[in-house]
Amino acid sequence: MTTSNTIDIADAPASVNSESPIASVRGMLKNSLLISIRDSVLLNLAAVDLLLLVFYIGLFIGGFLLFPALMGQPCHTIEEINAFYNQHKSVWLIVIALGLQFLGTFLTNFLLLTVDSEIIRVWNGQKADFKRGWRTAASHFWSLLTWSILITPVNIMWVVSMCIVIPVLTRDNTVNPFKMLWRSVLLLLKIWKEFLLGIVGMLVILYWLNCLIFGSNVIFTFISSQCPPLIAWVLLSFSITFSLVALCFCYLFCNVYLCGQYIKAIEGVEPEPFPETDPTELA
Amino acid sequence: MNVSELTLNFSSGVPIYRQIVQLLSGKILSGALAPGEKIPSIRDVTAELNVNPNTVAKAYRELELAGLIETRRGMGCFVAERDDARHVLTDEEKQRHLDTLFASLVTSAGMLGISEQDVSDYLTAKHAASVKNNK
Repeated sequence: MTTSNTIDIADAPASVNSESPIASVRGMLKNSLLISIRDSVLLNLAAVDLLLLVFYIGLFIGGFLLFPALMGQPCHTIEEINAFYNQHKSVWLIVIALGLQFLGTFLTNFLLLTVDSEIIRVWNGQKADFKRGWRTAASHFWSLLTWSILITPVNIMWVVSMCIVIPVLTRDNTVNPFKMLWRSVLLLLKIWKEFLLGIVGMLVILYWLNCLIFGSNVIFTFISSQCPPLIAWVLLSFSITFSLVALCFCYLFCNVYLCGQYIKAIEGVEPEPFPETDPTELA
Repeated sequence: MNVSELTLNFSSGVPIYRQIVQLLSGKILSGALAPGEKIPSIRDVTAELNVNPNTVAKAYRELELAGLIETRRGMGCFVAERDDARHVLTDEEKQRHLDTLFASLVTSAGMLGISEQDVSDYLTAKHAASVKNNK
């Protein structure tokens, strides 16, 4: 038997990075845009996700503003709020603040897992399903809980969570957050070139999308100022709706790309959401 | 063959397409899959295991190149319809399968906490015993 051309089964990075990283990133960004545009359920899911996050942030900030009022000392400026909390420094207050932060982190991760699990299914050629996404996230409750406990004190970990850990959690049920992080880092090492290039590509696309949002808003504002009040209101509501949809789209697009990279790292093949005809299918 | 017979490990570090190649080639070479037997379509594997169609397609392409399976357009994928897949493999292909089997053995042993050296010693001892028995 020959001893040449042997295959090292553990040599995953070589097979993953066989294609030029730039060509790979370009194809992946294109497919991510296509998925984000084609699947409306996914966009709705991302919209609900963002809406709940905004609600939570409102609740968090509102809570901090309302608490002094409930204590009979309403605050109107940031200085007054600072003074109130400096005056009422207590262990309980810190515990409540940490509790709220934990709740927010857990909720964020839960929703992110809901969206990511469905994005992976769409990458795999299936249709997105709202309920199935929630069920998947619920089945990872303990993993999400331990991960959220670990990252609650460190705000920047939210970015790590979104970029590398949550996509891994969609198929991994480990409750050890350090193991989770380690596995995510190992996967990231396999695709680090594409990952970094993709971040640059995403930032360029997001920059142009934001320019589009800003430009359209300037145009709407200009037209509104020249129109009768009723038309101006209609234009304004249209402008707000457009901005919100664009925001959801940006959020979805980022997640679709990150999930695509995750699939490439774990499966060893560039994912393709819309494959050619399946030769193994029955005629 | 049923898709549920394919068990994938998403946290092993071995790419999924390689795991599919290992599993199917193992079944074909061991005779668990008979020549001419139909193997699941890409769509079925994709839907059941939640993996990308390209991943399954790449695994099937590798198996086809190795001469272990054949695609009949419009009918599906089948285990190579020859006397025995073992006879049609070239030395290079046999070497590849041996590598795959060894890597799989090392991975499984690693999961049980057995080192690569222990696996090697075990194989040497087994081989010596086999030679002794044959004499």
